[in-house]
Amino acid sequence: MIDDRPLPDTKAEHDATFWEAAAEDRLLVQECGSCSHRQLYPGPVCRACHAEAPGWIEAEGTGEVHSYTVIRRATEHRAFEPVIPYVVASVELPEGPRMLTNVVGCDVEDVEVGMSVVVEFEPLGAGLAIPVFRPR
Amino acid sequence: MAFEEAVIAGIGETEKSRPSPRNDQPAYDLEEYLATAARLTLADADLDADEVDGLGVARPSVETPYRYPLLLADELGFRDLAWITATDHCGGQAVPLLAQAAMAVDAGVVETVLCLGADTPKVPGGGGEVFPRDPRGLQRNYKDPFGVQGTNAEAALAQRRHAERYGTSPEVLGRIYVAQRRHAAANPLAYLREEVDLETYLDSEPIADPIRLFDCVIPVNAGFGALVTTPERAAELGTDPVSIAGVGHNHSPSVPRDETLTTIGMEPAARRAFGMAGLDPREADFYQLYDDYPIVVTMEMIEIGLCRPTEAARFVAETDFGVEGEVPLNTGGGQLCAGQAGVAGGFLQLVEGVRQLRGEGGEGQVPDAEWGIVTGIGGVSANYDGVLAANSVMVLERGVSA
Repeated sequence: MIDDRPLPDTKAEHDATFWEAAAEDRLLVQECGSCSHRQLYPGPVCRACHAEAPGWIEAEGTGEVHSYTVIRRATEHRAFEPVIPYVVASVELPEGPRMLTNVVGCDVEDVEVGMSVVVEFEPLGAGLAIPVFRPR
Repeated sequence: MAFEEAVIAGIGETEKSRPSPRNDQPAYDLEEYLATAARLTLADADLDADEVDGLGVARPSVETPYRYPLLLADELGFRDLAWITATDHCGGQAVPLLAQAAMAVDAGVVETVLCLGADTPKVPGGGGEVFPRDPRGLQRNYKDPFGVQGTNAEAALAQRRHAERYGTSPEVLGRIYVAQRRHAAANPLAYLREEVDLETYLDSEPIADPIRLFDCVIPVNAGFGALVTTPERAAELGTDPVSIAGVGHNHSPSVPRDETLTTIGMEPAARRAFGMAGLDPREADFYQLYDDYPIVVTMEMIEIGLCRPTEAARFVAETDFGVEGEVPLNTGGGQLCAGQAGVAGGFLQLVEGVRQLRGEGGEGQVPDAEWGIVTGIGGVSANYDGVLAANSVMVLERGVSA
């Protein structure tokens, strides 16, 4: 648990849907009703075809590390100092989108580009949970 | 040739500082930097402030009130301006601001535009939020909770992916930093004035692997100016004019999905600029490339056409980036070593390009510089779905266009 961790602001409608699902251990991505483009982060418009109000699908929860970094110094968010070193990764979901997340559950030195990972939900308190990934 | 009726006839650049409670470096506010930049630029052009009839303002990242350009014009005592404009392109906005000024002068709307950019990311005591959270919530909702440590972490993701694909290792990228530190050592306005070797670069503190301390641009407070006027007015002033042979931009570039981390998306801007100038980017006399990280400089070299991605590691490893080398790179030290004045940072590349073409580069002068390249990048971030950036490329040429 990280004290004073920056928490998402879930007021906006599309963000609320994503984070409410995460609190129930479900990872959602948006899917456009017109062109089937899938996107994360969510938004009010499909960023591929501009159609309004994309819907949601539940991701299967697996992914592949597209790239990653091991954070060695908290240059912007001091709250994370106690967990340094930790991994920030861009994980590609089989549904299409990539998301920035953390890879946990292994030594930071063991993370690799191309590594298969699976989602898990870390409780943040206040009815929130954050989707992070661990090696499959 | 573009911009036949507009030239750059003056530049200004302040000293850099990083004030904090742990040092006694001077702390000036934004308006002081802008006022100093204006004074230096007008003095360089040997022009009286009353002769200025246009103002261009690069929006800073520090908080400013709405209608800021109007307030600034009033604050600096400019009256009856024929034209006023602003850019809000983040760090790369010097080129688009100069392009706007040149278009307005070339069109005859205004005769003499003073372009100003300053930013003060270093606040004594700290605590000031330099880059406010995005209203869309991308950073707040999908980056911050995961401990994404700002641009350093995102540059690290890009560098890791690039290195995996193209072999751009720290040993290779360090050559860019070492060359620029050498250039900064010869630049009296640079913040870092001591040379370092490759080993020192490699041994610098790990920040976000593979990004280390010397990969990260150094934030400073500073102000810059550039004066755009007609060739006739420049001739009256007696300063050596520099012309704009070509300019190109692109925004929120479309890049192949598999390249979103390894591409800035500058290629269309470069194609537009070199097409307008009718020049081959490989033959420029200098390259003032926007440099927040060496990996970004490397991507720009690829995208403006100096090498293919697969050749990039060898190109960077083998090219002489010195002022007398094949690719004179960021000849004043660049933002990595001279300092990045927040989102006015890209002005450094612009004023250095003008300085080179006037033969005023001092110890860092490229011999017989006739034309060169200045780039700007604003707001780079590889989002989940694409690349968010404002890219600009400008081709500067010595003298008045033929």
